[in-house]
Amino acid sequence: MNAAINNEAVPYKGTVTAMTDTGITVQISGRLGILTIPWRMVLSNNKVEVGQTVYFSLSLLEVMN
Amino acid sequence: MSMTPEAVEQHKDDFAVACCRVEAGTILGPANFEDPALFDDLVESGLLNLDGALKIKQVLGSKLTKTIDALNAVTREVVDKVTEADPAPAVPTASGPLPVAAASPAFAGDRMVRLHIAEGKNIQFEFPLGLPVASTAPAALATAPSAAAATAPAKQEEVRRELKNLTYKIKEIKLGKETSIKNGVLTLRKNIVAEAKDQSPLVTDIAVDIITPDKRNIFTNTMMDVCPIATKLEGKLGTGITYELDGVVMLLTGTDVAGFQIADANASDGILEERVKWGRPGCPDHNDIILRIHATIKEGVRMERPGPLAAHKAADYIVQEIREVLKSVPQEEASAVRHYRDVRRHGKPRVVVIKEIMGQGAMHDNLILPVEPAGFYGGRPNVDLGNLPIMLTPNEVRDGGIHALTCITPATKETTRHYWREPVVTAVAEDPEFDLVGVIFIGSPQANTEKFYVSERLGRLVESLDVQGAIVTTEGFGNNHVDFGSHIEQIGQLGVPVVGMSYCGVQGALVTGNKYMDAMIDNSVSKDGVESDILEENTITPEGAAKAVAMLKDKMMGIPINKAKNVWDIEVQNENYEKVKKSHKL
Repeated sequence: MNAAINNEAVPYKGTVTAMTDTGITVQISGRLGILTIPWRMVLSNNKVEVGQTVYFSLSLLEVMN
Repeated sequence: MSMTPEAVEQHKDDFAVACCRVEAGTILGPANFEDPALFDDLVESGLLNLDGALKIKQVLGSKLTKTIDALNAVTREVVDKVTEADPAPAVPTASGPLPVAAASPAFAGDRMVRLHIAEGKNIQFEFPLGLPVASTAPAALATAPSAAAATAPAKQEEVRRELKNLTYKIKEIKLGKETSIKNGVLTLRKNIVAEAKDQSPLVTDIAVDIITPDKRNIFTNTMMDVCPIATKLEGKLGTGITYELDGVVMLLTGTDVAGFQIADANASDGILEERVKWGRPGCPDHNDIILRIHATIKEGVRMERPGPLAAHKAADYIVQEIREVLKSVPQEEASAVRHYRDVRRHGKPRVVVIKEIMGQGAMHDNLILPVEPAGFYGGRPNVDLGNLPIMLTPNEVRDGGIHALTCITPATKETTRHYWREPVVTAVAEDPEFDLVGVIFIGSPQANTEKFYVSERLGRLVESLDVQGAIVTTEGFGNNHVDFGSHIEQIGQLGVPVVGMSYCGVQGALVTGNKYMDAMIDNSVSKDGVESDILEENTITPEGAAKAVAMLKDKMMGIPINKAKNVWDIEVQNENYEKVKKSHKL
């Protein structure tokens, strides 16, 4: 990347659509895609349920090569 | 933002910086100073220059001779007097201090305990006899000052348990008609794979191959575990005699029928040579022959708890046959003998090691205390045990008391072999200046409510142990840092000095923090501080363990530990290790 780009993480919202023993799947609001991540990356006060809303911060993906 | 008198008292060793415009003639008081917590960011952004800045305690009550603007440091040029109360400041100068794990040189030779009590009654002092609070030389925990030594009870070493570890050197592995170990050659029965497959209906295929050190430039599926091959000849885990194969490790890999890697999140599949940090405690060594067992499991179960567990079960069936043969190899043929002892060093500071292990479910799980060393059967999953703290002896850990269901984030997870050669347990158990009371394993559940439940139990357990120091480690990163922070808080609240170890780097930066988390070792060694997908790269090393031990000793002796930089920098770790190496003569 040559141009100076300020690519900081910005807030996103999504809905939990599926859960397995290993992690959860989130449909990102605005049909921006699907995120599947392990449980270790999920912060929650109580047991997670399908349909709950999640918040997260994400930067844009920068392609390296 | 000005400061309160209480905040000034707490920060009196920090730099004095004006929080707002201060006119000449003002007597400097708490209201004139900026909060030092903001300095790192201010310096980094170029808003603040600390060159020549004086400490708050040096200028408190001094009269300003020149008007200064906000965010200007108070220097000698602008005050009428400087109070030189403390001739040996322990805090390093402004020019780029790095967090120091070793003893600060400012303390060298300073062998005085200085107590100043202005007023008070019913004051009682208690010093642990093995802990020479008067001395600050790095090696001083052992060499108590003569005064203390005279009154200390005789040094007592009590050996609670002994474990004899015999190793048998394997030079070659081949597949053949029946399993045997002869003249350094391990032959594995070819048709065992069919039987291994039948161990679980979820396993559809098992494949075994042998990888010699010169043939590592091959593809590997995600590595689920690296496991030593060892068996009990006498006694239970942690006692008696264990026979171990040297020069060979079992590597378990796995996919499902559709070809997906088991738990396809940060999988370590790729070219074997590049995907392993060779020589790490939890990895194959540079010269090890690898017995690779690949398990294929049914579609749809790779992300569920029974799937990965079935792969471990099938692999253990093969290893168990080798164990049975190993039992009959004469002990005289052993190439080396090691003695592990559970020693209690009475009179030395009592220390506990706490290892947080994953317990969010599926392969975020570990089997505790199987029947065979690093085995499968008999081991109880920490998830089923409610992730509550469980005490193991150092010998039980070193005798394969933990079978890890290693999977996600290969660079930061600890494999079964990691526990077999756990560097922190070894470093603390072998340190003649510590009395290691045991190793606590505590799982990390998913929901925060459960995390705090288990963490409070840990707090009460540690309280009952009456320890004088603790090291808390965790594998992986993510939500387990919530309970990791809570464990340290629970222990810190008891007044017990505690050191934390985790992979953090940039990607795994801690999501929580508290005031007890001031002595931390980062396991990250990747250049950019991001998960590298290389097996065990960012786990605890013997070097990291040495740093943790040094840091704990410093903290127990009251030596201040410098604040970490606010931006992750690999150089801090390297410099700290160099300092520890020098001061502790490693």
